Amino acid sequence: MRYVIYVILASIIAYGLVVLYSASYSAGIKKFGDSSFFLRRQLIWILIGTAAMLVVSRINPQFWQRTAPRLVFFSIFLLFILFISPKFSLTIKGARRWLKLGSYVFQPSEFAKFAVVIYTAYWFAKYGVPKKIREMLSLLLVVGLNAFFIMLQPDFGTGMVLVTVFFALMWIVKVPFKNILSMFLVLLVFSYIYVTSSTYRLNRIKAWLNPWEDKLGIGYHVIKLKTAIGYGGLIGVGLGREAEFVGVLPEQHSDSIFAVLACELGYVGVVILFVFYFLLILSLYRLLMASLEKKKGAVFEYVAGLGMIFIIAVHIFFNIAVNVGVLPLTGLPLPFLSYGGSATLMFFIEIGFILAISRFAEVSSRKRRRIRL
Amino acid sequence: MELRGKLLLFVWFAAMIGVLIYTGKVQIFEHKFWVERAKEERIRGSSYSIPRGKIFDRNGLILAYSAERFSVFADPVLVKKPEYVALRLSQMFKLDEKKLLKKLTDKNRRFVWIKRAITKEEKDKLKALKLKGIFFKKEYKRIYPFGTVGRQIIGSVGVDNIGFLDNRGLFGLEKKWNKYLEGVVNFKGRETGLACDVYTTLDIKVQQVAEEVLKRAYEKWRQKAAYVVVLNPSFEVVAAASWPMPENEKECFLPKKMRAGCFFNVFEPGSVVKPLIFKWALEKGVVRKSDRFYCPGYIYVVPGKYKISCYSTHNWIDAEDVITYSCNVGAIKIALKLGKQELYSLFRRLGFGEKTSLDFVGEEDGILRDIKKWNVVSVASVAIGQEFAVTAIQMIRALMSLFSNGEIASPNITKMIVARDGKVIKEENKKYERVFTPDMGIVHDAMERVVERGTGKRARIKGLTIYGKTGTAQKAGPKGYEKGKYVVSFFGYVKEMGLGFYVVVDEPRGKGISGGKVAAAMFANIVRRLYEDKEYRVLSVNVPKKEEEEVFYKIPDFKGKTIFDVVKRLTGRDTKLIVHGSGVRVVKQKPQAGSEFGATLEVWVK
Repeated sequence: MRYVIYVILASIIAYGLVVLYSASYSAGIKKFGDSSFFLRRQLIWILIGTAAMLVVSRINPQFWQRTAPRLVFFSIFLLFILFISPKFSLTIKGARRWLKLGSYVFQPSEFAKFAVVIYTAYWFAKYGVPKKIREMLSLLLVVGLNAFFIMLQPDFGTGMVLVTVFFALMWIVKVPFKNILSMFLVLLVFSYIYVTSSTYRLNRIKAWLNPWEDKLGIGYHVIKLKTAIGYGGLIGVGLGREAEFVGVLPEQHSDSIFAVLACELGYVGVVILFVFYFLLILSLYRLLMASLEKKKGAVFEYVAGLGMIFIIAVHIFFNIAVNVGVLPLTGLPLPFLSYGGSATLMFFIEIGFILAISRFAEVSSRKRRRIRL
Repeated sequence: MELRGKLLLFVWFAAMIGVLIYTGKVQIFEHKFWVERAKEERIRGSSYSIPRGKIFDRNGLILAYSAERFSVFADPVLVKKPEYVALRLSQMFKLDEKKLLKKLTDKNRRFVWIKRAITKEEKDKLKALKLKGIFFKKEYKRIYPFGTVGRQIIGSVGVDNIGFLDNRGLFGLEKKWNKYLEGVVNFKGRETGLACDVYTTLDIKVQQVAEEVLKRAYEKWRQKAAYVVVLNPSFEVVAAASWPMPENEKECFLPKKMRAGCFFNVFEPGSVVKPLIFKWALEKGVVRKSDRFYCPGYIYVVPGKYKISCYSTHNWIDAEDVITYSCNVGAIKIALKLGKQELYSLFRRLGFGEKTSLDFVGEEDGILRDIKKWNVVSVASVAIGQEFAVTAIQMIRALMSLFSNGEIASPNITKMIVARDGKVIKEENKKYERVFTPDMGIVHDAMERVVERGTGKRARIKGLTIYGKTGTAQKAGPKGYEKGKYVVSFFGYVKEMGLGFYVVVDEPRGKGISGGKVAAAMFANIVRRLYEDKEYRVLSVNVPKKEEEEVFYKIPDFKGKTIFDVVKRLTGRDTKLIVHGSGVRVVKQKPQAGSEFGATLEVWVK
């Protein structure tokens, strides 16, 4: 069953690399005089990611359960360092999102999503399902701190993914609905304050609602993405030719890679991508469920496993929805397609975690069978 | 718990399907809108263009050039008093006022075309009105000074990828060399096109005459298709006309009419192949000039079974006269002496069954069956030009080997492509291959007699030496050869002009159809008209030097020159000539020499 995941993953990556190359070669030449600069960098990250995935898939999930408090503390610590120390951080386009260690950069927010999911699962496994909000304050505090620092960077997109996944997990473990609702209302108030606190975020909402109002100003980005997608038509304009017809897109090889794909390979290419993603999410879910069959009552594995699937699924949905203009503009990577080291690495680790659940469920059921014999 | 997980996943799937459907709507149903929008932005943006390259004929006459025009667009957000603006614009350009007003008040858009390609005078008039929100963009309109003449070869243009007018080749050379011809458009640092000039081997005058003759032939013969290809011994295409052809500017955008049939349509050529086989037989020593054949009017290829008949009973006939009178029996006897191996190798050398590598937007292969599939009947059929199919360009290329010292080469239409800085980017470089030995005496004599007293008498023109051969091939239908359906043809080489003409008429209607009757007469029509024009002679392709290019844009001093020189200089421009007085010599001109060409040029003659 696990090999199915490898096959699907390999297909998505191969598909993505083709599009990445076509989206990044001109930028590669312009910035580094090397058309395959981004491709090679991404390949290295894919190799590192694959290795990490294989390692993680061999670590017993219970290890993560044991280390969950330390993990989430570490995540907050990283985010905090990023917040207070300009010396160790890297600021790009007004957002301080990257930790700098020598020539290596890393995005702690990518790690935070993983840590928060692990911690949430750990918390529910340990304390059970709380009936009142008061009983889960410690969990809310930990998740809230992570979300808070991410929003401060500012990284609205990652924050949204984190909060969405957390709410989904609360609903799954059957936290009373009225509690979730009241928390949601509080979140709404915070979000309102957050969005209206900066004109740049407010403009993004405006641009989303009506990009045409100022199509050379704030609506430019939104329209540009949609133009590229619409230009692609049914069969696309051909690989590497997007810029020729529509012009270079902002964040062409990372957040906007979907628009490049849609333009160059057309609706046919989009449908293929969707099929790949559907297969990936579905097979991950079935793998998780199959392993839990063998290991009944494993709350941690169930919640954490679903959480990992949700992280990937929500990223896919948010990114594509943003690209086609269904959601307001925010920078999120498209799993296994976008250029970017930390995100790619973490997506691999998240899949590795689900593989680990499957592997160790088999081990334990084999053990049980042996005892029975 | 598990149910809830499944449910959430289902919600995700549903949301994804929603996004997928939405993407489909954007990509498929709104596709046209976004393409238009992208073009608008490119034009509105910092992009500019310089005119597309020119296309010349072999005598330096301009076949296609791009003239400066202005296109008017509006930014509805900036337009004030749209009713007034709409009124003025509609008066000026005879546009629908209501539609215009709707465009001008569409505040969602910041770019709407009002009218494309207006002249400088119109632009100045409009500019004087000082309307707010109305802008101009320089664009170029493609002009074909000879109208529809040669358009199947020259081609047509449309709006380009960026959105500029008339800068994308749609047919013919415009399409073939679009990469070189394309006017330079700078869009976000990406330059398209090189705006090179293309010098062709076409002679627009020959082309014009050929097309007229084809048109007139249609009135008489109502043919399904017809082709005239004119080649010189260097295998340069001097003219290539095909019926059906475009008869007005609108039809120059119809693929049906713009198809150059002479490169694409295949047919069985008939007897025109006989001189080629005859020459081969002479060379291989299987036939000598003194040989005689007996023609009873028919020949059994398979005794008692398969009979091929002759046009008439020729009785004892000289080897040469087999060509002169197009004797099938004689030709078949010669072919049988050669054998299928020799025939096949000749046909391969002549390039039947494969593309001629013509520099055009494609051509057909023709049909030559593999030698393994040949039988006795095939040898006989092939000898009289049946059972294999050629394009007109293939056939004339093969025949021209008899007039280029026995050598053959790929035909070409483009002589050279010259960049804006005068550098030659591409130049035709011919590789000749030997097919025959250069001694053509006997074949030429035979072909000359075809016109003097043989099947091609109608092609005779006093004062010209013409080597010809007729062809009348039956057309194959689903059930073998059909009665009354013919492809008739005539090949003629005019020594004094140094040109080979190949005229093909597919399915002419009428009685007593033959190559000698239909095609030879058409050949004579073309050649006579060219011959009567004493000035006519085929020059080598004339490439103006850089300095002359400059002169091209300036009015020369016409004083003392004849009115014909003036007309010649005006070809390829939309400058109107106004002549005062009567006579031939120019005594005065306006504007003065050295200034640029304008809308009119006035000359006074004496």
